[in-house]
Amino acid sequence: MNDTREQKLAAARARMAELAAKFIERTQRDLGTMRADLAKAGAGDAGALAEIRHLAHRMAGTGATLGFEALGVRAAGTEAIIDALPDGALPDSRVIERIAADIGALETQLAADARRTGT
Amino acid sequence: MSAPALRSVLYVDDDADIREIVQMSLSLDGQLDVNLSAGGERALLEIRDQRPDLVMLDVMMPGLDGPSILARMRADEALKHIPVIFMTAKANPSEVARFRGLSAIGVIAKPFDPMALGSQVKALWKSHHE
Repeated sequence: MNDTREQKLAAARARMAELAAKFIERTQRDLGTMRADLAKAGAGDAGALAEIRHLAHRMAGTGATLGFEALGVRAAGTEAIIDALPDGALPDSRVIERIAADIGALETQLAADARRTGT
Repeated sequence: MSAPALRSVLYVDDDADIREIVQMSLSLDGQLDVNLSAGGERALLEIRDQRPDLVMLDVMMPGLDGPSILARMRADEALKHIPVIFMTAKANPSEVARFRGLSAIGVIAKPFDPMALGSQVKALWKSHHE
């Protein structure tokens, strides 16, 4: 028997809640990775900077889609800081500080989101 | 003349969670066959193999990005007619104009409302065929 639209909606909402919990856990790990990568980027590792950008991009898109709008906006801001660097350029100390502040703000927002969702 | 029925979609995105959400969203009304691809060269093989009615492409993907996949489709006699919708966080007017200039039939902004995505896709499909 085919599920009704209402049954599919209920199943979709339940699965979205599961994905949201999984996102919280993954983002906690990703923020740790971003901190480690930021230290490497400060030491001249362009690949580490690209990884920070990739993680921020993913947080922005997936986070906002799953209902974590504030976190998504902040992560999009982190991505924009890196995008504003000239091609091939590494961040100077001022940019490193901005990204570090963003990571801190993301950690705070994530903790609030985790409490809100009971994760 | 009314638009032909939209029966099959291939969604391409390197993010597994977004792929799953899109598949759930587009499958809600039970009329669409929704397949997924993680991107890259494999996506082109899957498009060629499945010949979906519509391809939806995330823009920013590692390796072969959305616009590159579209360019490869348009250069392929067998695939060039398949309509493409981009999904992107960079949906400001100049970016939307750029994507339409690449022959996409529409652009859906990320983040998207999972409960409204089906309606957005159908509207773009209908508009394309008018």
